[in-house]
Amino acid sequence: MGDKPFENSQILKGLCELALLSLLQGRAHYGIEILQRLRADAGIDIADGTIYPLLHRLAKADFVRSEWVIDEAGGRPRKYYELTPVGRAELALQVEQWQRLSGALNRFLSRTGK
Amino acid sequence: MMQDADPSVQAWLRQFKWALGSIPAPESDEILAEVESHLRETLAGGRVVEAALGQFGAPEAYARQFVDEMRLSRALGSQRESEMLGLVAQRAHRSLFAAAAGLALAVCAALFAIALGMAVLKLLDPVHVGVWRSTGGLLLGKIDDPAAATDLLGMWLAPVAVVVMCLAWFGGRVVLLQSVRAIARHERRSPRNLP
Repeated sequence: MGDKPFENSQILKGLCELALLSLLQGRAHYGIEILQRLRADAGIDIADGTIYPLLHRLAKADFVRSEWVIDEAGGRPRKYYELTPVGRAELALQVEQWQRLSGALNRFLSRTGK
Repeated sequence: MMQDADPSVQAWLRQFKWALGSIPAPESDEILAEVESHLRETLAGGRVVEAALGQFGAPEAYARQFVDEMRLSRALGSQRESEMLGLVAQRAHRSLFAAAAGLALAVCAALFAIALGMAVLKLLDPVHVGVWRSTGGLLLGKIDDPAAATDLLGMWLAPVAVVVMCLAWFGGRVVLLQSVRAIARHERRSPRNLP
């Protein structure tokens, strides 16, 4: 039950960006890899096409930068994205906001009949 | 473009490229190349064509997400009235908020036009044009018999009209800017092709 992907689009809205920024703080990823990690590790099951407009916008906002790399094994060109210093600051801000909101909501949801 | 790909993939990419037309060439080429690379890899991984394309939806609708974002970034970046107005007008038919903003802007534009018209008319015909009070009530504009009514503003009409024009312009700009920011907040928090 706990590993079941979120299916509520309303809850997913807005969380994609936070999860994506968080994912990219470790190392650079390319589109398909990002989708796989979001689905497997964050439980965010989005359509493939969702990721590119989001990455495009984050790149325009200077939160991420990209680079085409030819994959050594398959010889395929892949566009890798990594977080910029501006993106790291934005991630810290969004994490802080999310933790504050989710903490308050958890306390509210776990109240006992008050 | 993927010359070796399935005809339906080629057709999808062709339509997608065409729909990205309003985005400048280096940027639209990058978007196309990335989507093409994604399709190539997922198809090579064994996904069937319909399922792979279904993950992106209709090419025109998918391209519109990039085009909309480009217009939004441009309007927010430049804050030019023409670009912000174009954005609100473009979103008006699919966003209640943008439609309401369009209505508020129309009111500001009407106020501006009326004030400008009154100022010009007052300068051309100071005797017959004014804000009149008569037994029939208040009247804004030109009357034939000035002796039958009281001109409430007299020559103050022109400076008052200029003040109204400035307020309408400033108010319209505030409405425009806030509308564009609200559209950005809404659209950027709502990826459009979630499952």
